[in-house]
Amino acid sequence: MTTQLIERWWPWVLFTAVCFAIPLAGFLCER
Amino acid sequence: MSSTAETIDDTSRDLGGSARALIELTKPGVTRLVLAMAVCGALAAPGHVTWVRFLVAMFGTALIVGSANTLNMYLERDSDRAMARTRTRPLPSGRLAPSTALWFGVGQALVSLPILTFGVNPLTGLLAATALISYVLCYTPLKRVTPWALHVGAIPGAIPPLIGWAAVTGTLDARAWSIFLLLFVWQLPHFLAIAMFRREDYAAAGLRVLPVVKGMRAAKREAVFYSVLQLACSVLPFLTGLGGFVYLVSALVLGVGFLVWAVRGLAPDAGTPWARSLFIASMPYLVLVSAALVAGVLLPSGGS
Repeated sequence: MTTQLIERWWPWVLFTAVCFAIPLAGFLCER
Repeated sequence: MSSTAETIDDTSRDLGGSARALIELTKPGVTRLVLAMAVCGALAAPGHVTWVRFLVAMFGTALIVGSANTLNMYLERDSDRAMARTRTRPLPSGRLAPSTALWFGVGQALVSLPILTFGVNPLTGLLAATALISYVLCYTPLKRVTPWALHVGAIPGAIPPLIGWAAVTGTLDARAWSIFLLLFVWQLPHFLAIAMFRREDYAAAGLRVLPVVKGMRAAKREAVFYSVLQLACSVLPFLTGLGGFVYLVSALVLGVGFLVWAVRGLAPDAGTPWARSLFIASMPYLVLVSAALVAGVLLPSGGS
């Protein structure tokens, strides 16, 4: 069950991380 | 020679059809409405923004909305096949491959977020990322689980004016959040009304909206409750110093009118036609309240 969940959702978790990393990088660059 | 010409003709027809299907995936009608709300946020915000930065913000916002709608259609391609209204969309009709839609949606996000972050400011990028992820990965899967998905979906739906405001000021204050709250609450009776007159379609697709799960009576009662809440929230921009008395009077008159219309739905014989009329009434309500808000901010006498 857990393995299936990870297999199905890991691309979306990665996508989420990238989406939030971009503005966070922007905040860091502003400092 | 003629077969080469026919091949070229077929190829260009295919490309034209695919381009149209890709544009369809972005839901241009919804994108226009979202952009209008972002413009309202920008116009209501204090301070000035250059035309270039404003246009970059709107371009980035259009792309992020396109991405959210595309990825939503990708994730819902199976349930879209079950509804008459959505059966002809590019994915269930087979006009586009699911992988094309997936990469198109991801691509739009990966272009728009750097544009908003580095071309406007990081706060607009963060707001856009929050709207995208909450819409695609929270609201979309929750629709099949619980009627509370309506409230989750109203969060990304209310973010566009914040994007417009943040593009101008680089920050968010109580005035910006008051617009967010009003737009958040406006969506509740608006989408409940849609769910009421499309309940059979939604039930067939396995979407657990309130009229399907708890019936029309409960949905009508909630629509009245949210109309009261909408009326109360429409006062908040005035209390935070936005809009002035012109806005306040307009919002109260329109809000009471909308509430009266919602209460009419409590009559036992009020069914699909009433639900459709409540949905239609919610649109001029939003347009007029937004116009009153912006006019109250921009016109010199609007604040008194």
